[in-house]
Amino acid sequence: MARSGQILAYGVVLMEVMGGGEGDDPESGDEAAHGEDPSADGTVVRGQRGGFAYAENLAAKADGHEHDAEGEGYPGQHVTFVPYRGYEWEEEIGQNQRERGTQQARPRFRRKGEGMKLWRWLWLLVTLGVLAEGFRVALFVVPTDAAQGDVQRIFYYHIPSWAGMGLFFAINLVCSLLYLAVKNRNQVLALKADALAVASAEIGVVFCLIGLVTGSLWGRAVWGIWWTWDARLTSTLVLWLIYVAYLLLRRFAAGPQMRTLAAVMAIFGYLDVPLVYFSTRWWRTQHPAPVFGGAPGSGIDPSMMPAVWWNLAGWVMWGIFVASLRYVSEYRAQKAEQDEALRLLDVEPAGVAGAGR
Amino acid sequence: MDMGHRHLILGYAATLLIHLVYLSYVAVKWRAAKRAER
Repeated sequence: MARSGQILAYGVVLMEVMGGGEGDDPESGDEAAHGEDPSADGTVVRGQRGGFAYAENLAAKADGHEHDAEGEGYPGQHVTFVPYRGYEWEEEIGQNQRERGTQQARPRFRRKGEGMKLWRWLWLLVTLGVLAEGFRVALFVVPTDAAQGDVQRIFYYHIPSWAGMGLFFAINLVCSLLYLAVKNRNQVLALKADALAVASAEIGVVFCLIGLVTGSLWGRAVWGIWWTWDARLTSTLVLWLIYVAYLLLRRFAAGPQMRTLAAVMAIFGYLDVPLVYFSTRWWRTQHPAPVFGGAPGSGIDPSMMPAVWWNLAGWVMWGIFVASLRYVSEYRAQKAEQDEALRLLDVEPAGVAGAGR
Repeated sequence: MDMGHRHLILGYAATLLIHLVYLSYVAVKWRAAKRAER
């Protein structure tokens, strides 16, 4: 009974450790190589400290008694156990995975991890293809604007930047709300939402910066000035500064409340997005009137639309690609940070923790 | 080359440069996360 409980616990933990949680990790195949094969034929299990601790804890519970500091793992193997009394959310993971059954978990995850890597490469290839086609159509296919000349073609990468910014700031808002909603109930989901919030805010800031720079270049050629403090430009600059401040807060604030503060700040920061969007409708601005969704007669010639669609698709796909990479790395860093914190809590002797107080 | 063409090219260059700089940052974070994980 003791042995079967231990094996079950190892299965649960290895699914979590190798699987990177929920299978989001594109490098899961690499991760699988970090530890040795935990199959039931007696191979040594090494790797995640937290995983061991958790496995051992579950095994101890299954056995109905406390664990030893060291002991036998699978038949013929010696492993070092780290005493661990885990958090409730890890217990939830374990419970869910036990309910799902763990016997098939690891092989299924390995295939999934490889698929994710392939999927990401395919996505990048398609994205680069779409961007290349967008470049070709924008510069060499669509007609030149009669009034502005070739400088109007800036529009074909200026507009996608704003679209990308709007999309990723909206994702940031949703993730921030989700984080606040579930942070006390589902820590795993909360951390994922938080990681996606960071990733989307960063790429949103990048798109916003590109929009400001390319708009300024266009303004210099058409208006004769680099910048003017009209409602659209000013509200956009403020929006960029708000999200830069959001990222700085995340970078330099410490402590457990940082993520909550950042989520609240993101919600308030997003209030500027509709202000930016409607600024050219509510006030008279030097910025041109809305091209899409504006007054009757607004818009561009249909012969120019292919350049808009290709570039819009290409840059949004690029944003999704980069944000997905950033999300994975942020989530990994958070998990590693938590593992380290748990390890420190677990291995520190009680006498040392209380010493000097 | 007139100002329109120059600014069009500058805009493309700035767009690519900013994206590449950010991509480098993402790569650094990716590696750091993998190191921390190990």
